[in-house]
Amino acid sequence: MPPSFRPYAHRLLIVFLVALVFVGIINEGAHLLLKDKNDRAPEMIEIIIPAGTADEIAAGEAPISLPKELTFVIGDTLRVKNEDHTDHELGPLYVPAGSSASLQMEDANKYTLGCTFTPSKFLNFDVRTRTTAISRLQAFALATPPTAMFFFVYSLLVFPLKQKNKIDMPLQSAD
Amino acid sequence: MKIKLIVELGIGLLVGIVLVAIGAFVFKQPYTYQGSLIDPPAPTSDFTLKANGGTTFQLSEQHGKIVLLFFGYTRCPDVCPTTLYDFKQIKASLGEQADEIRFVFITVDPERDTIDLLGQFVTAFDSDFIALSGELDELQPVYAAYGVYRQKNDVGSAAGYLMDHTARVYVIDPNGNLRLTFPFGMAPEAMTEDIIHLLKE
Repeated sequence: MPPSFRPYAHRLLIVFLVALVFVGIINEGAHLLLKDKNDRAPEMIEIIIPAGTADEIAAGEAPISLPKELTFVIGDTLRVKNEDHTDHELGPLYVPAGSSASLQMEDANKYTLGCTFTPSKFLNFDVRTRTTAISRLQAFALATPPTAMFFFVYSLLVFPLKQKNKIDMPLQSAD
Repeated sequence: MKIKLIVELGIGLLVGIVLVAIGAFVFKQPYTYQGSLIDPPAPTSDFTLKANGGTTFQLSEQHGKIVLLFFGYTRCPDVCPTTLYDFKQIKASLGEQADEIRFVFITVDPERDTIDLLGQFVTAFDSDFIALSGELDELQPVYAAYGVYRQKNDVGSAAGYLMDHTARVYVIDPNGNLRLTFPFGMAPEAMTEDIIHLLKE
């Protein structure tokens, strides 16, 4: 490396390390402050269809109390356990009597699914993305280089590098 | 000095690779089925229907094989040809293991789907695919046993009515139990992985 570049490389390394710490603090601080209850690890969520559900639905009753919309995050597994004497369905899930069926949530979206165990015959799903360690690392990796360059340019303005004069001119006497 | 450094780096890399391999083996996660797993597996109702090629098909005679069961009709514009194409891809991916699988297509439109027409339809995708039909009173119990929805939908087309129908694939294991269902749109690669795991059990 040419000697004239060494001070700049040294400065760049220092500001890069400073940028790493700065971005890390902002990144993780924002994650901690803005985290919501759906920003969690994937879970298994179980719905139980009690015995007699089909008969009660036919009679216009609501044997299961379910919210109008179920919220999941990507990676959650929905398990529907059927304790009724007839088979039931929930969207793509086919749940034979006395058995259970499970499905993993893979795509973030809002769905309205046909449902045989609710009086409305429909159930709404909201599948959301979640912040993972990979996504935080990606944000960290994307933010650090431009921040480092900004700090570098700013540091050159505020603390300019002094170039050493290599050629020492001999002093001339004034004749 | 340089040679010593290279040797040390090589040993370190080798140790790292061995440790990662041991870790992967020790901490290996159990397989997670990508289709909808039926747990416990549900016993299936036996049925006998007319098959293409002038034969009959009885489900209980398929013990020892995995049966992929799909309900559709020959005039289906999208779902049925797509699913049969997925079957074709699955069969190709399985190679020799495909001998352990039966790909079965049961009509939801017995009024228009003759067994010959069904045979031509499915064998256009693969000559080993099986098409089943029968009288409506023979098919109704099969539809009921698998929760199959079918509804005529007259769209006023010159081609005639369409049939709205259940689009999932039912996977019956070698013991004759319903083990998995694959929703329509599931990638053939994912279905193949599930089938391979089921074959290993």
